[in-house]
Order: sequence, then C-alpha cells, then structure tokens
Amino acid sequence: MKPFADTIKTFVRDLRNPKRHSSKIIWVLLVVLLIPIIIVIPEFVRPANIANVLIQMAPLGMVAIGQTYVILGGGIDLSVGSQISLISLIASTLMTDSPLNIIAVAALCLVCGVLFGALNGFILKLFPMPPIIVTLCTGYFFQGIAFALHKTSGGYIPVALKQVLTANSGFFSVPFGLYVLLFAIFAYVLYRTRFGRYVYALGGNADVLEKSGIRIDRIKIKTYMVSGLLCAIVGIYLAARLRSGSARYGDEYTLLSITATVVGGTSMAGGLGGLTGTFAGTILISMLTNVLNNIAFRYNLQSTYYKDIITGILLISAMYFYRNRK
Amino acid sequence: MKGMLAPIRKLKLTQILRTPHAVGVFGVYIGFIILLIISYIISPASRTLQDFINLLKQSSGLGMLAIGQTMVIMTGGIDLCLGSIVTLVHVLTIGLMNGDPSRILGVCLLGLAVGSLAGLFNGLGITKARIAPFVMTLCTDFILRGLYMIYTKGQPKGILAESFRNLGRYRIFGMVPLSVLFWIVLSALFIFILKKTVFGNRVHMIGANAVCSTLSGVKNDRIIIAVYTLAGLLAAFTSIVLTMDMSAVSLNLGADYSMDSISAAVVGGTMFAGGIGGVEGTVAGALIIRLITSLLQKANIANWGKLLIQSVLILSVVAANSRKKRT
Repeated sequence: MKPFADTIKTFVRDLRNPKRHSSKIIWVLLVVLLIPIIIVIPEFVRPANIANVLIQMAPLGMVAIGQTYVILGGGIDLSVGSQISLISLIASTLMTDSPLNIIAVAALCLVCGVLFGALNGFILKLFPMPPIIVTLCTGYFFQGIAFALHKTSGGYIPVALKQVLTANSGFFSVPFGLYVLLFAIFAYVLYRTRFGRYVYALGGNADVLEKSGIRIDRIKIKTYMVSGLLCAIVGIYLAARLRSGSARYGDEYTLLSITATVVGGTSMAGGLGGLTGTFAGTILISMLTNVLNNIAFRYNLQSTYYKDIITGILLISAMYFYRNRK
Repeated sequence: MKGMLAPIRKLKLTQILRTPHAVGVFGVYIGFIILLIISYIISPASRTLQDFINLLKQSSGLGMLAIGQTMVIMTGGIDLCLGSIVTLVHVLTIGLMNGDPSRILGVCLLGLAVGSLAGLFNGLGITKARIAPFVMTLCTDFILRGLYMIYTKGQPKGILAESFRNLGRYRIFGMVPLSVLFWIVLSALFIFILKKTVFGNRVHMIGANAVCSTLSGVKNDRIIIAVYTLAGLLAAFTSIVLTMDMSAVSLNLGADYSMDSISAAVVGGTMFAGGIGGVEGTVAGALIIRLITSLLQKANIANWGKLLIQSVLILSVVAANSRKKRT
C-alpha cells in the first residue's frame, strides 16, 4: 500500500509543479472513466461506435487546435462559434454544382476565416482591451452577419461535397483523417518551429519576448488567424454534412473548445500546456457525449440539455483542479 | 483614480463635474436625448407621452438587471449568465404557479432564492476556486440553460394567476406601470449604496486596485461574493417583474439580456478595467439600448441589426476608454 500511496503523491506533486505542463492526469482520467463505461454500456466499444466517436470528435478537435493556440498565447477566442456559423452560411449561400465553383467557394471560406481571425488580432493590436471583450463582441458581430445571411432556407450545398467530406470505411473516415492531418501539422508547428516557441513565450512572458526584439503583435495576430482558419474548415465541414448553413451551427463549439483545451491542461493564463492535452480533452468530451447520447436514448431523454450541464461542470472542475498553477 | 476616490469625500457640484466619470455620465444622458430627438424626427407618430412611458416600461427590465451587471463590472468581472437566470426563474414561476393565486408569494420567494443561489455559486467559484469570471459565468450559463430545458422538456407549460397578471396591468395614476416604479426605486437605492455606503466604497476599491483593498483590510472575497449574489437576486427579481407582463411562457425571454445588460453598463460609462462607473450612467445606458432596439424593430431588422450595432457600440466605447486610460 505504501509504494502505491507514494506513487500517487509524486504524481500529484508533478501535476502541481508549475514548470511541467503535464497532460498525464487527463489520460489517466480517460482510462479510469472508460472502465465503468465499458461495464455499464458494453456497446460503447463496438467498432462501429468507436468509428462514430472518431467522426464526432473531428470538428470539435479542429476548433480546439485553434483555441489552444490562442489560449497558449495568453488570449481567448469566444468568437469561434459565430465564425463557424458564418462560414457555413457563406459556403451554403455561394455554392453551386460546378466543381470549379465548389473549390473557389471553399478557398474563399478559408480566406474569410483567416480574415476573421486577423480582425480579432488587429483590434487587439490597435486597442489595449481584454481579449474576452473583443472576441465576445466580434462574436456577436459575426453572428449578426450570419443572421442577416440566414434567410428562410439554409442555402444549398452540392451532394458531391457532402460525399467527399463525409466518406468513411471502417475506422477510416475523411473528417477524422483530416483532423489527424491538421493535428500533425499544427503540433509540428507548435513544438518544432520558431513560431511555436514564440506562441509559448507570448503567453508565458510577453514583455521578455518583446524586449528580445520580437514583434509580439504579429505573433498574437497569427494565433487568432490559426483559430480562424480552423473554424473555416469546420464551418465548411458542418455545412457539407447537413447540406445547409445555419446561424446556430457553431453555438456549442465556443464553450466546448475552451473546455477541451482547459481540461487538457492548458493554462488560461497562457504559456503552459499543449496540443497533446487538448487531444485528450477532445477525446474525453466526445466520449462523454457519445455515452450521454446512449443513456439518453435508453431512457428517452433529450441528451443536448444534459450535455450543456456536463460541459459546464467539467470546465468548472478542471479550472478548480488546476487553480494552483502559475 | 479620481473617479474611484470621488465617492469617498463629499464633493461640491463643481468638483463632481470635473471628475472624468461625471462628464461621461452627462455625455450619456445627452446622447440619449439626441437619440430620442432623432427617433422623433424619424417617426412623428411616436411623439406622445404614452410612447415615452412605453419606452420606460421596455427599459425597466433591462435597467434593473443592468444594476447587477454594473456592480459586477465595477469589481473587474463580467456576468454572462444573467439571461439564463431570467429564463430559469420565469419558467419556474409560471410552471409552479399554474394559475393558483395562493402560491404567488411562495413561488416568487423561491424564484428569488434560485437567482441568489446561482449568483452565490458564481461568486464562490470566482473567489474560492479562483476561476476567471467570464469562464465561471459562461459555465453557469450553460448549466442553467440545461436545467430549464430539462425542467420544461423544451415545451414550457403553466399559466399565471389572474391576480398576478393584474399587478402587471396596474398603472399608477393610470399611466405608470409598476415595473417602472421598481426600476426607479432600485436605481435610486443602488446609486445611494454605491456612492454613500461602506459597501459601495469597497466595490469601487476592489475594481480599482484589489491588492490595495486587501492591504487596507477589506475582505475582497466577501464583497465579490455579495456582488455576484446581488446580481443574481436582481436578475431573478427582474424576471418576476417581466413575468407579470407576459401572457404566455417563453424560453427566449432572457436570451438577449446578458449582452444587453453588458451594453447598458458599458455605454453608461462603467469601465471593464473596474473601479470606475455607476448605476446613474447605466440608467441612461438601458434607455439608449432599448431605444435603439425599438428603432431597429420599426425598420424590421431587429434580430441581426441589434447584434451588429451592439457589438460595434461596446467595442468602440471600450476602445475609446482604453485609449484614454493609456495616455
């Protein structure tokens, strides 16, 4: 019993050590949660269901990558949900059946996403305002434009795009593949490039970064642009999946992406954490959502209502757990 | 700093006018009057006393709610869950009352308790667990939304007791609704509390410099918890007053209130940096927001025009203030 207690103690001390950005605890939590889930709901581990969870986690995972960049840089992006909705509407308003048009509109959407992110960054550069206020307001702004674009029907998305973006066979599916690809790219950028180190430094100690001759505004704008780009990809994917756009598609992603990031061990103050933690956080949320859907289906309940509550409690407890860092 | 210290001493009128915040408050009222004149030019039909009282009535709910938001912003926080408190209390009030006049008092008290509890929960999370205010209140917002959706199952039911609805129809001197009276009384009360009491001074102080207030022996945590609880209580009270006027249950009653109350407080001169501001500006802020809303409704672009205008309005006010503070 003694060595076990010691292990636990070292483990907890490791976690409390502000110099380490450990995402171990979240992986442990995942495994600990998985055991009762498998006992209560054996269907959870069926291959079809696992494949389903992987598809479901893709959009959230992509948004959370961007959110992690922004939070690591000491900011926060509350406008991701509205950006996704607006992009889905831009796509569904402009698309027609010709392949050239599909590609052009998709490219336009990606550019728009980057521009939305850049807008957030530029406002922050011009005025010394807290990022919460700025992104909350730009979020309402984007949602306003989305409502203006959202007339009676949700527009039109060609079948071909849906078929391409939702194709799947067995464990492999396009959305999850895309997520893994993007994750690999952005993890490489974050951990192995100079820009990635600057993002950490920006959240850790912006003053020092500025005094060593780096233009911190540019780094900050770039983090928001990353977030915007990923929102655009998710916006196109969601629009394609349901073959229409809506001013409400993105609503849940704001809180979910923050939750995935923070649960994964990234500090709200910035400079601490990383994408591996966010990956685990995304898995946790998708797993819980799937289990919740399963239970809700069994007892004939509405799962989305419970999902809101659970997300809220999850984020509060994660913040409470990490409160002593930094 | 002048704005922070102003309420501590007794000031002559000339001195008050010289503080930056006081000038801002006069500016807000002048802005409201200009906006009112513009609206009268646009629609001559609205140049009646009845129409002005209607504007007051529409603003009263927002005005009461924004008092809480103002205090929260003054302590350097933000409360994003007020809208959900409004809807939750509204749904509970109507659902539990269900036409029985003998339950009115009990149901109202329960509503107030629910609102205060939600506020208390926010306050405890922010102070004891040291969670950033916007994260904490955003989470509470989602939790409360989940709760009222579970309670109503998406289809709210219930009817109001006739005597309760009569309260909503009652007009003082045949003109002024009760909600406006409540708004005036509460605003006056909280202007007094913030300007003249120890509690009010401490609210200013925490927002201006939390470390300084701790060092002077103020228990910051208690004040912050009290402020969030008061904000929840005021939101619940607002919800009950709004419910008096409703003919049916609505799950969208509180939807805009979080955003609207932030706009009202910020337009009224309360600064996000904390410590500067007051309810006297928020009153005009609420009037301005509701006047803009009604103008947009006349133009039939309320649902999206409101979001665009409010976001730009908040951003520009905060941006202007941030520039001022830096120089």
